[in-house]
Amino acid sequence: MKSTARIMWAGIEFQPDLQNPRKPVRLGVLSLTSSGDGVLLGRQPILHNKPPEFNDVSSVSLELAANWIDSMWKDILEANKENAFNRLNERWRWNLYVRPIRVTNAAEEGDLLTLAKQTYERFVGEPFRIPVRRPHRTVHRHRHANVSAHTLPEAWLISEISKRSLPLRLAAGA
Amino acid sequence: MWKKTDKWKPGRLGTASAGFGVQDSDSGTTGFAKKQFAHREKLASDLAERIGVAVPKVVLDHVDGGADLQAISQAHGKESIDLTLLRDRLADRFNSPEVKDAIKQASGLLPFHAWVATQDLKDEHLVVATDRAGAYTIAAIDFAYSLDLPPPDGGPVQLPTGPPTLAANVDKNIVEATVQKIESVTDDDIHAIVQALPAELADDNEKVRLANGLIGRRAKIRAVMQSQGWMP
Repeated sequence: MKSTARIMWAGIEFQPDLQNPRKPVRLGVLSLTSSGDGVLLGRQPILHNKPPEFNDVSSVSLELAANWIDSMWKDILEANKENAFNRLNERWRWNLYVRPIRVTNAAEEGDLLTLAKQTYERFVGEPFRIPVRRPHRTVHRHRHANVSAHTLPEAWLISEISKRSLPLRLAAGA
Repeated sequence: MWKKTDKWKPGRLGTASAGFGVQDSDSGTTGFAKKQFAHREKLASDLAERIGVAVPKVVLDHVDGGADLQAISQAHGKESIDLTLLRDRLADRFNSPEVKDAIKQASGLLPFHAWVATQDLKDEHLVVATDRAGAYTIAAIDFAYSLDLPPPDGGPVQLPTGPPTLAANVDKNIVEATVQKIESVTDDDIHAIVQALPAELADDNEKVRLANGLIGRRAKIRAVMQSQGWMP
């Protein structure tokens, strides 16, 4: 997925306690280009085997976090001609939120999905690895995979969504 | 002292009243700071506390030692989510008995909105605190577009057109109890609450307009609630 557009990057974080905040749990990254390409990838807590970061979290917050990738992607698609980041910032502003990271020029960069995985590794602090069930690459991918015990933490579901030519509009600063 | 925080940093909205996350270095609690219409946010919060309806506590303070006073709305619960996101993304939760009950319990916000003439009435401005299982509470946020009360007596009281989910799930007894509480607020109480606003946010004329408006509207709410069938 090559692009010559501007890329806006954001991280997805979860703050378990808004009254006595602690270090946020970093969940994933989002990149959207002004030409309409988008990648959203990250990790989601598994409901029946939640990671320790979610031990004292309510069932509502846990359920929201367990589905944040699909939920947020729907919001991006529903933004249509709205500013996609504005829509995300309006809706995701509670314990689970979208944190702007940076804006880059895609001309000096490479494949968006590869960049997103590199950004994830820097942001979350662990490599983005997903067991590949379908090795062929398609323009629109939406993969979920249960983690395997020997390669990934069992408490997380690792997912990615990428798509080209979304009907997006982006602001100058996310 | 309130400071911008790295522990809760949601993206800023593209609106004039956009705010940002802050943290109190003494208590550690987080809040959402907004500069625009700060006195309205503060006044609405103080009035709500006076009559016992849920609006997060607002403090006025400088952030990072900046020159401007900002309205800092404190978190409603350890965990919270607005009703729109809850309905759209966790529909089963939205339709659960505990959320439905919390919505009804928040019915007192309707006469309160009528009193302070809130204009921006939408479900996004209703926040559910979910950290106590089975005892959710709903609070109203964002009073930037309220308290625009025309002199000399605040003008006629209009029926709140929303938030839609509240208006569709009214507990009449709670509305009546809240109307009674509003009617029991004395002139002196109202003057005291309004006078507590810092002069840099509301000058004497503004305080007179606000106090007279609130006093004038206080006795007009009951008839509006009754005409809508929102009271027993």
